[in-house]
Amino acid sequence: MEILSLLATGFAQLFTPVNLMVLAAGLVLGMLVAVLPGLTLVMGVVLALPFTYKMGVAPALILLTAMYVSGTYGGAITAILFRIPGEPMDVPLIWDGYEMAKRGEAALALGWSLVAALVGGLVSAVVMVLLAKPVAGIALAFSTPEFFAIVFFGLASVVTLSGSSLANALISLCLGLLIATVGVDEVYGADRFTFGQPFLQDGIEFLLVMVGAYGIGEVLTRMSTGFAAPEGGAGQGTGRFRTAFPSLAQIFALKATFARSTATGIVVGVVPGAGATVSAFVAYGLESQYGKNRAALGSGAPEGIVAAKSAATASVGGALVPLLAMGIPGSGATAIILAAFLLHGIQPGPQVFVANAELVYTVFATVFAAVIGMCILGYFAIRPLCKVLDAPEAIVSAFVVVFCFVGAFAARNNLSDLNVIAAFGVLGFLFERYGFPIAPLVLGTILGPLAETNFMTTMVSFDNDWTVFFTRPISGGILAFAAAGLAWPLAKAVWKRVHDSRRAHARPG
Amino acid sequence: MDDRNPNALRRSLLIAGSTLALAPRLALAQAKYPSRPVDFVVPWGPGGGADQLARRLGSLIEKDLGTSLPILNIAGATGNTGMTKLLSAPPDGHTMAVFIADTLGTLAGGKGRYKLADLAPLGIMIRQPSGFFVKADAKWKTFDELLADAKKGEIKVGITGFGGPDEMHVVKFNEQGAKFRPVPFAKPGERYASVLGGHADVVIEQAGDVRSFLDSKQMRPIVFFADQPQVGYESIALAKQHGVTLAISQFRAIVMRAGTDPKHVATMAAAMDKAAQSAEFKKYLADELAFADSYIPAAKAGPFLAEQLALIDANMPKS
Amino acid sequence: MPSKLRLVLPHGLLLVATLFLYWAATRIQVNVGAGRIGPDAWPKAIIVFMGLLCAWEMARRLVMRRRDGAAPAIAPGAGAGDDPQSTPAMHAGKLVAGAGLVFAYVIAVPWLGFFVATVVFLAAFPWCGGMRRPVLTTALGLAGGLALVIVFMRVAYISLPLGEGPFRALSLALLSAIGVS
Repeated sequence: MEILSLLATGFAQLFTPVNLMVLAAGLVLGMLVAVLPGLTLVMGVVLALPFTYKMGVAPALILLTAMYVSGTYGGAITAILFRIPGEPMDVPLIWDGYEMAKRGEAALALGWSLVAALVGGLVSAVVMVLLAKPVAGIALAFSTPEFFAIVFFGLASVVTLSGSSLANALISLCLGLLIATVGVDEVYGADRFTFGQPFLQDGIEFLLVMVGAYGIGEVLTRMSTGFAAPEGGAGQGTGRFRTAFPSLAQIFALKATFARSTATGIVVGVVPGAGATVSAFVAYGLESQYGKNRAALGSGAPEGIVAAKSAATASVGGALVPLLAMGIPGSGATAIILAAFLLHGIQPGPQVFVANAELVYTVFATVFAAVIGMCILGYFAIRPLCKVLDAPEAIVSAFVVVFCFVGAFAARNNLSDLNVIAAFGVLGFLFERYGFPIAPLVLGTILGPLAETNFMTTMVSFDNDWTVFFTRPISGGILAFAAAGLAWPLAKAVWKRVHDSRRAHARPG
Repeated sequence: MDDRNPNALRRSLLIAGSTLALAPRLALAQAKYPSRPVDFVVPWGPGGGADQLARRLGSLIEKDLGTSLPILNIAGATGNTGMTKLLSAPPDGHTMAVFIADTLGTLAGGKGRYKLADLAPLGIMIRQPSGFFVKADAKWKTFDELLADAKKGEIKVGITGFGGPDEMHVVKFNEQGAKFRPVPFAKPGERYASVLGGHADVVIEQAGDVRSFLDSKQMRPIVFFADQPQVGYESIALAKQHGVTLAISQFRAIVMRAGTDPKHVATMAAAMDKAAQSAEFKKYLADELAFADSYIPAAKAGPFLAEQLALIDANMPKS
Repeated sequence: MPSKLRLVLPHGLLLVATLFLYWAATRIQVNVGAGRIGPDAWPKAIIVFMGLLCAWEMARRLVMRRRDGAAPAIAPGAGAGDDPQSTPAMHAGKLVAGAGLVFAYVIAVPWLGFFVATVVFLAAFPWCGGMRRPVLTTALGLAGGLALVIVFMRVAYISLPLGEGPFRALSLALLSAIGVS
């Protein structure tokens, strides 16, 4: 009950005219930065930080928290409509959301993503308020072996993205992992694959691979089909569909998916260094390996959208828990929020719940309000945005290209990055044409550095004893899940092949 | 002039007028420094000491310079991933970086990809002694107990990265028979979580950076590497009492690329100087439990860095 | 046999690439304490795995082909997209023009500046794609270029390239017109 009255004071703090305006500004700004690939959520929060110096503590935290929450949604729109992931966490939305959009169900796909964000966000907010202290303990239970196991699980979801050939998917994944190693290595600082080129020393950012291979690659693919409007193509978002939202019965049918991925989002969000992107990949991987409708995943199944989006949104509440309860920032965005606390002379940690309880609960209240506000904003955005798809494809594509370049340029102010994007656009096109899936390539570049650093640090910490990955209960458990998920389709494929060849031999002639 | 060709006059006036209108703008764009936001590279993750310094300084000098200082957190390789970013940017004064003792350590023995001479220091902003910190409920009450255990079996120490002063301090004890195992965690959040979660027994930090954990009784210091006792923790042992005289304080400097226009360096160094004299910055130093005389202006910062590098060179672990 | 070669060409090329990458990985400076694995270990492991996958896939395709006779059958659960039937009709001309335009844009941005290059690109790209309505696309290009410049240079403080010579002057004039100092 004490919690409820504290939360009520939090809402009272929030519902002043000034703070509500700040909240609305944060929601809109977060949505905008997330829509632009390259202007990532973290960068958006960083850009907003200087504006908070002159504000009071409460509005400053409301602004940044609101941006953080709505920043996890905006990228869904571009991923589903144009196949440009606005944020790395939106990559899994392409796999099902864009497929749905191609079928003419863009509005419905966006509707599902909104429902997913709403459920994931609200549930994680409730968990955050009720269980902040016990949940914070999860952050401490995870060390590098566990973290490696989580990332490995995310990489293992490659099996479901393999399309027609598992070998090609794994090759694509390896290429992604190798691209991620270019530049100065994280642990020892050695130059790798730089060939004496200064621009390679900086490394190849996953952003460039992601935007190039998906955004530009898709434009080239469409160009090669002559922009012939694909039948029932992405251009009929508004025409055929009156309602954008799934029915309650449909939502209820996916309750297991909602529960699984929201829980994943909260837990992974709590772990320092993981955040929304890893949550989305892991939840998608879980869905693809254990979901009821796993066979349809990747071909436009709402489960894929729900898994990725509710996990990404749920990770927000998760990441705020160790920040507030222990002063440990779990992700880039929470680190900036920590900085905002510190700049106003407040040290998050156990004592903050006592010394500044009102402020903590204002942050909690902001998360609730921001999740709801973000969904309202998104709801009104769906219809006009789907209309964009009715514009001629050639024009939309031209804007997509410029959008990709501007976003990537904004990220690093580096003109040579544009060449890299264009090159990955061509690579993405060739990959699609020759039966290599793009998804594992992008997955590898995003998760590769996390996998390697945690692997190497574990090796250092445990004297090159690789068995710790299996003997530590949490990492062993996660790896067992991943292995089971990997082994099952392999076994199925082998069985099918044996079966088929036997049948072929039985055939007369 | 006799009104012979009013049109020509009017045209030339118009041209002159528009040139006049445009010229100052163009000239301004050329001469004004900084002419656009200055990228402030933090070669460490957000939330750590380097990051906090950059954000403080940014807020202090932004008004002074009339431009924003977007902070880019580029962590990795003991700060060298971020330094690579600085050194690959054009030397036009629109990129600067936080340069800390750990990163300096990687230049020892001339092994780095770049040299100290490639950097133009703008000032040493903060200096703090490093120390070993343990979880508040750790079994070791004193450093003697910890050292005795470290001689019996392995003790894991969370450090920022290999090759820096953190590792050197650890190695000094190992040369005396202790079995400390340094484990690198580049992101501060992960480093703090490692000791709080028991994945590392000890973490090397500066008191100011882990102040929230000290104040909330989650961590406590067990030994400091300094000549003087740490302010606020006078009863805690000093490493020199245990046979390790090496005391490389953690410092955080602000640097630009060498070869930047000296005028731009001077402008920025003056801004740093002004910030360092402000009451707000002095309060920050006190909050961070740093040396009160931390700040070293640009003119003396170069020799200071060279001297520290020599100290590190002399103590390089022989592997 | 050319058709056989075509079947294994993508993986063959990738295999050659892995050999090259392995050579590059051996040149990584390994300067680590005793008993630690160096920065070359992780990439080398991946390269070896990737090489094995390529070799296996090449072998599989050749074996499968022989077993199934002349028809390059697609193995169950492991087919290749270069099957001519599954590929939609190629508009090679449009593709080359489009890709060329994308690269031209990248090359031109530093010279023309962001605004001019973007307007030209937004106007020209739809034309290449078969949308022959220059007035409409130019208008859209102007509006789009202007909107992006305002959003990035004025609102988000990101300095997009200004271009060289006269284009630089034009960009600067545009910037002062929208109130960026």
